[in-house]
Amino acid sequence: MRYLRLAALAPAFLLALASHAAAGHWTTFGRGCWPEVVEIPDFTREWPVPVGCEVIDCCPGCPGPGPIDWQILVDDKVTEFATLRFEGLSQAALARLRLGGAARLAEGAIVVGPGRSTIGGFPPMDGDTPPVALVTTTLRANRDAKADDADGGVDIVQLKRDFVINRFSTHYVVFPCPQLAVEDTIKTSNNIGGDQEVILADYRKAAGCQDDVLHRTATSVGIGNALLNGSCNSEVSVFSDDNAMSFQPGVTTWTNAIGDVHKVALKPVITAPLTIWLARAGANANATDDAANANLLYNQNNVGVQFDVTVNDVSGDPNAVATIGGTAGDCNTAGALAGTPFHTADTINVYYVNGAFTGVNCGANRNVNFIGTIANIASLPHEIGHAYSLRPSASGGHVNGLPGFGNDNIMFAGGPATRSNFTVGQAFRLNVSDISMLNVNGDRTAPTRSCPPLTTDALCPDLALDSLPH
Amino acid sequence: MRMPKLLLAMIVTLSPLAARVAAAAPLAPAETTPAQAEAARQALVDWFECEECEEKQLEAVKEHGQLVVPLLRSALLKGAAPATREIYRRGLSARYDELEKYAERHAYAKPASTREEFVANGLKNLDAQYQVRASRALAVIGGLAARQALEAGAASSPRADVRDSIKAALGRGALSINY
Repeated sequence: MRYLRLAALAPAFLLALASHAAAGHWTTFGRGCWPEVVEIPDFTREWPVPVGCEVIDCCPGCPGPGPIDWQILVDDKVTEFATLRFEGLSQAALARLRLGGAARLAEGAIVVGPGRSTIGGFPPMDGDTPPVALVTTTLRANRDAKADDADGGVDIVQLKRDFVINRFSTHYVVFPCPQLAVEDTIKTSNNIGGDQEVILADYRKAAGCQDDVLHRTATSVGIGNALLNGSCNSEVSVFSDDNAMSFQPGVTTWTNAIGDVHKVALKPVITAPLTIWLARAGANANATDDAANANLLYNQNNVGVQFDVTVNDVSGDPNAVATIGGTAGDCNTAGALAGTPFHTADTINVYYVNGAFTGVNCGANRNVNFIGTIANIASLPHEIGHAYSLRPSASGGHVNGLPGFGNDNIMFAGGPATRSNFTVGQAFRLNVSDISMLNVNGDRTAPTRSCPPLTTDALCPDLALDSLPH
Repeated sequence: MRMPKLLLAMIVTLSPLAARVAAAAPLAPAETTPAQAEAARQALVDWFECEECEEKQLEAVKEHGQLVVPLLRSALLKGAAPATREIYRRGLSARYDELEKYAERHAYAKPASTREEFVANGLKNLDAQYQVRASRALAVIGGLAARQALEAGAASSPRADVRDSIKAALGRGALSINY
């Protein structure tokens, strides 16, 4: 599957955008199917684009105070237009902006159609609160379905004269929703909350082995006529809020006749104990907030895990603080910690320490994680992602630069503190991988397999495979 | 508005490799081309914001040498830029709303902080992250301007972890041998 059809979108302009997209200030990536996608908030929600430089003083050699210009690129396949509604910019100032290309002023906002456009002459910022464009994208509702995927997106590059000072982009892949006859059916039960489940299935059809077909339902979905497995892999995985991920390999339900029904009884969400050790005084609120955020993200992304948190404040115990160590973020004490009173066996342990780093999951003991003083709310869910098999960093554990990922993914090594997504391919591995501490610790007792992040084959889905909303 | 010719030239010729090569030689800021400036800017952002930083982000900053010292000094003294802080402020506030809503049905996941504390703490840590990373980059680049920046930072930073980082940076060899 192609994630970015760059050549079709624009010439070298977009190439320059894409080559650095991973470092842009906001790079989101979504994947959904038509026509459902039109209603999906993840695709059409507002994203804020402040007017101004990404770093103080903008760039080496940048011009001093002066106007800021925007270059905007809107794809011509998926997106009908982008709307930029400004806060902190008066209507008079808005009217003074120079609009070019497919940008036009409409009802107090700037509407930008497909193609390359410009907005020139943003006044130099004065003060700490810059004007902000709230950008929404409107997708084409009457697009003819194509057999192939379609890539879309909006890119905004801010410049001072010829110097880039900030970048934002949102990209998406849209494909036709499968229209399948209700011949054979996957039926689920016990769906807590009645949310839309994401079903990932392999089965055989007349056209051959079907690998990683995505279906969506809250109860029951037709899949056409699945046939006897033959030499094809046959399995069904179900991802749902507030339920454990269901993984059923070796499915033997399907016959050559129609009318087969494969039933999946979902189980309650897995509760994984998580022990927090506060070796830094005053870190309790931070740790509690971080754990709340981890719980939110792991459930929202259908990982099917909730963390049962125990907090031990040992910051007043010099022996504990010395034993825990970790202040350099170097994991030197990780191997020995398991034999001390400051570690809970077979459990994810998170140590909040007094060192100026973000976070680290330790190779010597994947149950050991250190969180430093400059961590953000995404650091803890990111480190748990490593513990739960998304590693090593250089081989898909970090998704920087990988096709199909933006810096809104939790395993992006950096980016905003509010990054919030796991793909279905990641959620599959977090659960099923034989090296995930979820399995190693015995919190999950279900079939496992070896699925390194960058392995894609009949048994391991593409890491970037996704289906929004989760 | 037509795309400026210089920008077009930059775009056509710019690739990550070309940009890195182009930016390798330290230049005075006034002589910097847009391509060199963008490569340096991206390297700085990657380093300021990286998690675990295993992708050689610091080495990439070091390649730009004295060219980026003025921006590192600004980051050390002031933290993140207003546009960056604004996007974080909005993101953190929205996330707090999500957490509060989520906790209505999942009581175990309630945040401990108030909204104001949650946002303020996130912004303070963002600034500190920029400052700590700036201090480390200045230490590996070295030179008189880097040392002066660190000394100015040591005198002004209110956070102990930032001060400790600056102190450690001032003790590094690069600063003493690259005058």
